[in-house]
Amino acid sequence: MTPPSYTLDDIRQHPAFPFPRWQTDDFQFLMLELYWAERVRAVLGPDMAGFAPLYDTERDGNPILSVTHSGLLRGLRLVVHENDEGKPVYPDATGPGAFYPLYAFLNTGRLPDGETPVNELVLLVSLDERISKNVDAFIRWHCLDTLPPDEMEELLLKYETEFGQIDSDADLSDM
Amino acid sequence: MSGYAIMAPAAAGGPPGWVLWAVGGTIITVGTVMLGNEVYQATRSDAEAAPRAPAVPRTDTCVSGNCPRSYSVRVHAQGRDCGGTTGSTIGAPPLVNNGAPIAAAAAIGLSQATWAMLSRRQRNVRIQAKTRLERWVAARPPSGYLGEKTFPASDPSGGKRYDIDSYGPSPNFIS
Repeated sequence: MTPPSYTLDDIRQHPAFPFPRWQTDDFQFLMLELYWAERVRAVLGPDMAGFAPLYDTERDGNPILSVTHSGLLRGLRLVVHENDEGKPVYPDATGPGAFYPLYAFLNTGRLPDGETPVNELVLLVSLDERISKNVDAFIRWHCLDTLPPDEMEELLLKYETEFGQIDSDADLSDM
Repeated sequence: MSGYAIMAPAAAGGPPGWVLWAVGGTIITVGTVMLGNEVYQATRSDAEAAPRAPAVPRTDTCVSGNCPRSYSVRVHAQGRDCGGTTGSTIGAPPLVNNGAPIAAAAAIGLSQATWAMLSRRQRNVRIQAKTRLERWVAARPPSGYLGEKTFPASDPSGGKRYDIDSYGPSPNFIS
């Protein structure tokens, strides 16, 4: 007997996709959680077997997915990030005052023992499939290619510059 | 196919059919979601059992003989504006307690201590994040929390954020 499957295409067929009322509708939240789990599984493929859930999914979407590879000490955490402040949305606007469906950064997380460090990629995501290519690339670079942190930092900076999230000559010195 | 599509013929029968379409479609769709989630959970269980990458322990296993494990909480500002990389961090020393979970009030005090270490510029983009973090901590008792929580800055580019990490053998913030 063929086991049932549930793919990203199946999720996209749901009439509530992309689940804009997930914050108040439990069923939409479950569908959103399933979407991101399948999104990650689609990127990792058979390598997903090396990753295990770390911390529980939270109803506020922070995180909506958290997995760690205990051998590589690499982690991936997805946090749902919505435009609650009503900012103008990329690509109609750019820069610090605009809302982007993807922000990415590195974090030194910990296993539940509070001591063992984990090199973690954190993605602040809003379900907008126009940036799926970028989401998938970051996950692939960090979890499959296991790029060193300095290379990941360069790629993060390149993404932010190309999308206009930051000015390439931004002054980071203190005021 | 979604439950709504399955029930589509009922919708052709006028308003009484619409109710049948809505209710039946919801039941079938939710059932499908639950089935899909079960499949995903089963897959995750398989992933945890993969021999080439042992699962991350999710509870205190106490295998080292150094039990009981301590409780710890840290609150820190992070991002490229805190030291040059998205993982750079500024924060007061973590709270560590060997006997009991750390209280929510103590964590809020820790947030104030970290806040005092930030420059005006680092604070300006994190005002809302700090407020949200402290409100979130204050609302945790009595169930508490174990894990990592990130509160993005008003401009999250460069990984600018205000984070709280809670580790231990059981949840902190239960009081």
